[in-house]
Amino acid sequence: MASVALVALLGPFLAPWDPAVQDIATGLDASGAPVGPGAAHLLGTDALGRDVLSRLLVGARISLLVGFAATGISMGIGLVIGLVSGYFRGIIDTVAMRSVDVLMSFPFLLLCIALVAVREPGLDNVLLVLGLLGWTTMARVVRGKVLAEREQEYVQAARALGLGHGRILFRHILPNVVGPVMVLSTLGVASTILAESVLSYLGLGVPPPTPSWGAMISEGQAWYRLAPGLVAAPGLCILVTVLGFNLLGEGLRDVLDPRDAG
Amino acid sequence: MSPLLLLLACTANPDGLTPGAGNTAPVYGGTFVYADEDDIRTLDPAIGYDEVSWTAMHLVFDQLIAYAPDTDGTEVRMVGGLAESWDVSEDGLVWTFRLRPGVTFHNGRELVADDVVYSWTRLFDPELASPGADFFGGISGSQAMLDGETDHLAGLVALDTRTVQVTLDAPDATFANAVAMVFGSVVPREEVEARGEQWAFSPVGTGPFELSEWQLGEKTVFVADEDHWEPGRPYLDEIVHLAGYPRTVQFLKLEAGELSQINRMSSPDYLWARQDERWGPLLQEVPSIDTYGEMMNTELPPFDDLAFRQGVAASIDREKLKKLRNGRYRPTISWVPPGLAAHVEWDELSADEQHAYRYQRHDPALAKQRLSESRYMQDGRYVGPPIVYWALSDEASLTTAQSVQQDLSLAGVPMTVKTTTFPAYLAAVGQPKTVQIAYTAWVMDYPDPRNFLEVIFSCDMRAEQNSQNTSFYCDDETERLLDAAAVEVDPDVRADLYERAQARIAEAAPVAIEYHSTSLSLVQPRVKGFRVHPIWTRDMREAWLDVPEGRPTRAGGAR
Repeated sequence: MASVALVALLGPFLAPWDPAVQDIATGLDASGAPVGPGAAHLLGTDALGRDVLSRLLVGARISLLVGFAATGISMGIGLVIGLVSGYFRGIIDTVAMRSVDVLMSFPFLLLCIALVAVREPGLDNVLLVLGLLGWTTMARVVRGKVLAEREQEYVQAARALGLGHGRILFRHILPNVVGPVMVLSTLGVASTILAESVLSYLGLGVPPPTPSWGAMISEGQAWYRLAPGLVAAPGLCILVTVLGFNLLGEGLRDVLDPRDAG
Repeated sequence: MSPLLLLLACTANPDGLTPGAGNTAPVYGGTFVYADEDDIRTLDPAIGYDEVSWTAMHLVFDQLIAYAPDTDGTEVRMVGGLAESWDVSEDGLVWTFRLRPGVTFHNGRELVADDVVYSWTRLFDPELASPGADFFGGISGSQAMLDGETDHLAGLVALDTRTVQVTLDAPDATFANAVAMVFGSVVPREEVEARGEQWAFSPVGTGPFELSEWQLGEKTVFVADEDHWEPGRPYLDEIVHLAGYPRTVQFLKLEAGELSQINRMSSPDYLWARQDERWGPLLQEVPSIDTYGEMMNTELPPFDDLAFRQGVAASIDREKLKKLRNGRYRPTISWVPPGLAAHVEWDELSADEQHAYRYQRHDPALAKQRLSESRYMQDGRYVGPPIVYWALSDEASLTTAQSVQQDLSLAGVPMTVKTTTFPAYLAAVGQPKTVQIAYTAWVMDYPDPRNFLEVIFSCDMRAEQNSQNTSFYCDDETERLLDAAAVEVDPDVRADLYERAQARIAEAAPVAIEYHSTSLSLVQPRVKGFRVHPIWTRDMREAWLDVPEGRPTRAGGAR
């Protein structure tokens, strides 16, 4: 994960070519097909003569940016709703949880596709839609944890001392629910990266020529016979990154949840 | 080996190729299966105006005039269809059609002249808003009908049961072409009226095939009409159209032996098929009578600025596009394709004539100069509104879009690419002030410059919905030239008028003219008699399948 993050951070500086520049003269062969791996282009070129390695490196930044930023938005929303809903209960809880039910009754990706398609394509649009739709699981989990915590003695003691709701929620309860939040966030990054890839694959993600792994698979799929690397390379990047975040999430869960330890 | 495995071993074909049975003369029988990305939109010949619908309607309907079976390329020869003969008066105003006897609709009723009068009059029903009205608009009284002043066409009468007379307001060199279009199809009034809104989905015609089944969005089945008026019924028993298959999937289905023919191939599939020893010999490439380019909406900034449009047109590298399409495209400066009057080649123009076309060639220096003279550029920086380019999501359109995007970027003009589906694209570009710049193409309805210039660039072709003039270009002098050419009967004078109109259009650059394409076709080895048709794209009327179980044709194999 560290190396993927490093690549995302330094990708534009490591890229041997400008990932958007089309080199029709030497980046395509005489028949107009992409050239294979070689000294000039280590992973070959795509259908527009662009360097595949450079696009992968810069694409990593897009994938991780979407992964972290959208997850940050959804986790933030889910955390606040879960805290407030579990702590206050009553009408707030009912409204919040029924909203979660409604949102979860739609397939997540289908809802994303519908909302993204309504707006103009763009990185901000993808971030916003993935962020605003991905908070439901977090809200549910945090609410459940808060429901248990609010009955604990330390919370009762804080109330008896006359502390305000905000202070009780954010100073006392929040630190005790941070474990599942961390685990869910890590898993959320993985699923968001995958969702961005799907949206980009469908032409609803980051618009060209900005490289994105999902869009690279979409653009390269027609060449699967003559240049299979155009699909395999970004596919492998997604696989490794998503798998990495999933393993990280599981590791964090083992560390942060003592019940599962050993 | 078990009997079942033995049977599978005998019938399965690992290559997906369906070899012929060795018949040298046509045989009856078999099902021809083809596919498109989109479904047939309508089978009402007064309404349909897209390639998929036209190909299907060419099976179900006939017109008074037809294209000869040996029609190839631009050498289009017209012959009698439902009309066994026709005469034109010396002044070119009165056309008299004599109908073929013994023609019946699929419902068994005999065709009469009143059917022709009804079918063509229907095009001017204001409620129907048929795109065909433009092509038959020369008939006397058509405007009065469109205006709702009358319910009959003064210039269209049935003299007797087999004779139809048409009177035009002015001579029209393309009227025979209009008659041969799908819009000229003859339909039975009683069926149209009885079926109402369902008519478009359950048509009755006189064509060699009749509709048997239509599962919307999935498949349409046409079966041979045993009583078709042409000698003998069609060779094929059945034709099946499958909808919803992108070109890459079509290729896979052809390879699997599930399709008889495909005519849309992605660049990699084309390259792969060309070098494959099994499929390579079956690949047909025919120059297509079409033109591709980028439309620029003259009503929307920044393309409302002449200098900006000219700069954009000159910044596009046509040779690059040719290489991206495997060398199959022919870069051009002429919107009218080769083989038609008014087509021009850069090298054949005088220096004065070249002046008008100079923006339709890749010239980075000229592009930068014109862009710098635009009000949307300041000190080499673009200061206009964000530019969104509408592309289709298929490999070819997206590749072209990104190529144009880079060319404009090099000229200092940033542009975002928006991908969309074909129906959404059509709806958007046909609306005023909606799309700034988009891919555009025109494939001929009939081989005449009028079909390329008037349909796309005439002021009259602008509309609030489904506008054919997608750049919403309107120039008085161009309009005058197009109007004069439309009624001119002298071929040389006519060609000159269209050349002058095209020169004005090229200079005004409502479109960046880019290339003419080639039509591809890949067929199963057992498919015979199929041809890439310049008008109908796919023409299955004469096709036959070399099937072992095929029944021989009638005596002598003649149809």
